Amino acid sequence: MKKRQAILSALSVITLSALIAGTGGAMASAKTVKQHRVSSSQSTITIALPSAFGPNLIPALDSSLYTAQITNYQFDPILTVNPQDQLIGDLVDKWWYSKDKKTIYFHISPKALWSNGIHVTSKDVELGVDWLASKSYNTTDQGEYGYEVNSIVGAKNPIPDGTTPSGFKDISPSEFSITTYNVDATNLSANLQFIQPLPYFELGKLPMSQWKTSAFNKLPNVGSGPYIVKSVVPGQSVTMTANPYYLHGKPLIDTTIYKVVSPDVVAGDLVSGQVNLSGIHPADVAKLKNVAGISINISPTNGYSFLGWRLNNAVYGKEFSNVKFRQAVEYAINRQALIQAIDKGYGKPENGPLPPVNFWYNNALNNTYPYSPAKANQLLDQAGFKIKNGWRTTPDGKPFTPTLTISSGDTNIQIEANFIKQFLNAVHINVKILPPINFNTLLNQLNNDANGKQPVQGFFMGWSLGSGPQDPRPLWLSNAPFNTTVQDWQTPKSVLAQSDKLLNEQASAQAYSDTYRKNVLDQWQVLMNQQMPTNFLTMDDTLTAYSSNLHGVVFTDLGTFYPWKWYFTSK
Amino acid sequence: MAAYIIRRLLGMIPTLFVITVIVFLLMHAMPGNAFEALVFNPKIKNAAEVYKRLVAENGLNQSLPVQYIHWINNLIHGNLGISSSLNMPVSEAIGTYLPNTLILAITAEIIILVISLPIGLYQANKVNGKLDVSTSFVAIFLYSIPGFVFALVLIFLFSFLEKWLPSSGTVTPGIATSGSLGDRLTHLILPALSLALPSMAYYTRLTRSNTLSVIVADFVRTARAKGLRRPRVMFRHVLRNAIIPIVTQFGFDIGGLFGGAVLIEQIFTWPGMGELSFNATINRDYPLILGTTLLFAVMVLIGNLIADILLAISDPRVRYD
Amino acid sequence: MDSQVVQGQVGKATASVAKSKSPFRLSMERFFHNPLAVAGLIILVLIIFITLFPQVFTHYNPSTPDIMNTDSPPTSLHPLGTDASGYDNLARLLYGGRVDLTVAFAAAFMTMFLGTLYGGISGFFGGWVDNLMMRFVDVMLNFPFIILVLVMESILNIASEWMLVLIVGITAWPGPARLIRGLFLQLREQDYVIGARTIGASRWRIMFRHMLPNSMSFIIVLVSFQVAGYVGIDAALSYLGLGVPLSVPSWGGILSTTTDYLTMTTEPYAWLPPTIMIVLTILSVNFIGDGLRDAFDPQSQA
Repeated sequence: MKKRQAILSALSVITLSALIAGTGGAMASAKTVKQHRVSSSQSTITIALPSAFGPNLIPALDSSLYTAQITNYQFDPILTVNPQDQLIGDLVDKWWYSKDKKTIYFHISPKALWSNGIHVTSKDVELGVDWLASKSYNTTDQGEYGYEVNSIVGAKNPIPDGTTPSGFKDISPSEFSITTYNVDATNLSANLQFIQPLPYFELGKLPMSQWKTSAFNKLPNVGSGPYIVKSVVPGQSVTMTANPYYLHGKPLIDTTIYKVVSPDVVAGDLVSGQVNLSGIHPADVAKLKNVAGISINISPTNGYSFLGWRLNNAVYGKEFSNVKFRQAVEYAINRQALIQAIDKGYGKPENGPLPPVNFWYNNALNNTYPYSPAKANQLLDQAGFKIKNGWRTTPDGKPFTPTLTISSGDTNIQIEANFIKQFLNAVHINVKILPPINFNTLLNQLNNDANGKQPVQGFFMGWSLGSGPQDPRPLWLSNAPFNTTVQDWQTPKSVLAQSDKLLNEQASAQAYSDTYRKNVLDQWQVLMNQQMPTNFLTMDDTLTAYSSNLHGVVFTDLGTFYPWKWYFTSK
Repeated sequence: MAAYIIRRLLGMIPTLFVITVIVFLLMHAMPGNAFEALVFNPKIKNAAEVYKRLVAENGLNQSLPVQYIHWINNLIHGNLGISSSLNMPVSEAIGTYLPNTLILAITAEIIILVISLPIGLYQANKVNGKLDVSTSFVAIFLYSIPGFVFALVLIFLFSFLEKWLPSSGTVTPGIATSGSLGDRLTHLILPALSLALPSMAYYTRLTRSNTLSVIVADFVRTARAKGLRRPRVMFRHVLRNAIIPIVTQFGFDIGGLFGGAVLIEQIFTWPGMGELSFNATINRDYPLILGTTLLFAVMVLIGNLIADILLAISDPRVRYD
Repeated sequence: MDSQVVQGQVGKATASVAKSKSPFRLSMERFFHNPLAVAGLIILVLIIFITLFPQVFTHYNPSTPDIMNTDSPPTSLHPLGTDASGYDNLARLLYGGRVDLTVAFAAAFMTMFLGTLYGGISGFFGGWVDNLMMRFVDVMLNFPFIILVLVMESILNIASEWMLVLIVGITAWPGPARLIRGLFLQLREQDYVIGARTIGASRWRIMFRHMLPNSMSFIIVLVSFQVAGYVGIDAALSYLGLGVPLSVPSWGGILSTTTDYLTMTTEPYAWLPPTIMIVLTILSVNFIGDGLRDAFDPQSQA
């Protein structure tokens, strides 16, 4: 799934990610896996969605993560990643840089066809770029709010509908080039790879302001991906049929159905065969393991949960800003026990801003901050939090009763908060949990907290990083347009400057070399690990249950791969 | 009567005004708005600016009275606004979800009436008989099980243990007969029963106790003394009077029909008004909240009016002045 | 039967001068001769006792999580197992009735007093009084329940059973008021009311002495159904993620986390007990309601 939506959804509920089977993940070339079709006794696969998809099926127009799953089945991007998270070709089979690295040239695969047999051309790519840069998409329709083409010359800000940014050059029907403002090693994998060509013969003549109300948006009849939408029942299901002209070969399974199923019912649907693939809860793994006809996959997730502190808080901002406090909290929380209790063992402690499964993860972070109340007590003592009547006071001698704000809706967050309260109480921090508030209320408090007067002090969040993150800057740069981190973590200035320096370096011209970039990112992760700007908690595995007679699915931390090579055997 | 109905219809306008004002104030008293989440999207260039623009475009930076007048003005021109969470016109969203709710609710209501009226009448005639006690017990037992547990048990029994019926949705996707009458009916059975069976007890009780209190009234005694046959007395005299509170209740339920049942809808993936309005609230989708509330309010008021009219028809002694 | 009707009506009106057993005592006697009603009363008293003194039956604190002992099946220490937080299920069950019963009885109280009084006055006076009062009910009937929950939660910063009680207090009475008003509209045209009016009885006397006793059976049925409806409200709200916080035990809260397909099939010890408690509560309230109705209804044949 794409990073841009993944982040938003992960915000809403951490554990929701456990319910989203990694479907609709990145798609890759067919070379690596051999085709071994036995007999197709079943020609329809039903995939469960835990929550309703949106009404817009033109790519990027809808803000729902589940809609993106569907549109990503229908529209392939120009480039994609393989299960190892390396950038590979898709509709574009070759690409190369100009000398100054500012211009990238692309060649469209001769096999890239629309589902009606027409070739995908540069004109279609251009339309995709125009759409992402257009005023209609960015200001009226709102779409996913992602502006991923702003690096292209001429598209710094949204441009009038139907115009092409000057950085995009249509060289021939099968070749085009994109020129960017700056040299940025992360740009292609973080932004440009996601560009989805749109069928010029369908949408080219239609003013973009009318796209949202067009028939194509409700039922797109042509696509470049493995499956094409055939029918939609709003709020319930989308039926998609195999694209006979798909560039990696016609999918083996004729029909894919995305069906919205209540999380309470989905396991029963799996057992009774009404659903073939679905995300499940950790506690369900043991129960489903022994059910005949069901297989389970456990994959790490490229994401993590964290406990944030409002470092600018009017009451305890000063205390939270003390790095020793945050380090002590990290020692005080038994993250391994959290994983056992909440994830039933399917997870890993998180020690830095990148999860262990990430390509750029620094192994030196392993086993830092082991559970040690003694160490936590020692750090708190050093920082001057004295114990009085069993509870610690602030270094100034005032009572220290920080609060945790949690969002309602997901019981797992409440459960986790209760455990963390116990762990912190054990090192004499008198932390209290506020009554759960609605997620939007929490966002409101976080957003409007420039003076630190909001009731929120400690809070829970999670990030799902999707494929990548090829670029951590949007989350961590000190001037990033992103509140929880920046507002919280402005001091000490020297550390922040160091972090910014490393972040910019990892995207510089030298960073086109993976070893160079890895080295920089390693240093940056160590810095984050020492500073603990937020208390990193856990990485929860993605758990997927599927029919045992479904084969060919490649599960990775980035999602499921190669849907066109999945097939059923008779039971 | 016609004058009365017209007066009542006109009387709805101030009521609707008060209701929408209250909803409007409460809605804005909820912290947050529909666009706050985007500030957390690191992909957005100048999130603060985009946020400001969206707030301005949606008029959220204006004072509440101005916003309300704006909404009323649009309403008069038949425009309910654009839902910010669904990114489509509110009227279109309601148009998509309302039919599902109506199909489910009307079916459930029919099941309730068809089962509970005869049972209630029968019980009243055989008070404290074996069947009276046992049917009462079953009805109350069904009523006492929390609704969503009952629904999940039904799914477990009839969709998983015995694979007779589908567990969710209004149609089977991806088959040739998708959306046919038979296909729709098989999907309708479980959610309709989940809604109907627990509420049956209420109507059965109501029928039973009303019939009981009427059965001993003077005019029934008189009618029977005149030698009228029992069924005739039952239907001409007893039922007519016993039905009044039931009718009131029924008019009352009409508004509820449009409100949908959010739990049942979520469990059965039955996209209806309950879920629509619930999600609108959770997402701070102001136009959609107002649109759905207005629809419910109008329906509740009309339902009440119908109840009053039915009351007058069934009992000529009830006067309206 | 006929004499009973007459006696009932006259008896009510002249109860204070009757020398024989008072109607109240007669009613009580009738009530205690109804086996189902007595059984219901005993069960309800037991449930209330357990809810008031749960510590008699368990030494576990229902709000202390145990991270080393989550999702445990039944053991000798935890006869009903533990939940995902390591809370003892039995302790949660015993303490859990507080929330559900408080909310349900708050609803019953509001229905009985505010609903009856309001609906009664509206229906009795009719005319413009009725019109005005019913318009207010129309407004109250449209009170958006979920928005109210969210607003209360953020303004009062309490997501506890008391918030639920408050909200139930606001939203529980208009419906019953509407129904009772309909009944009073009809009752005020009955012969005995007209009769009482012609002999010059005061309005309040007619309302409370004549009409109220005759609508008692209806009100009792209404109240017992209200109780039933609101015992489950916490379950429904928890299911939507709007219930009481996890640290507050409630039957509804337990149910909302244990009713997915797999838990239902593999852990009956987790979800069946709270279901049984809810069902028993509602059944006993209804049996008591039936018993009272039969006992107090002057026209009852029982």
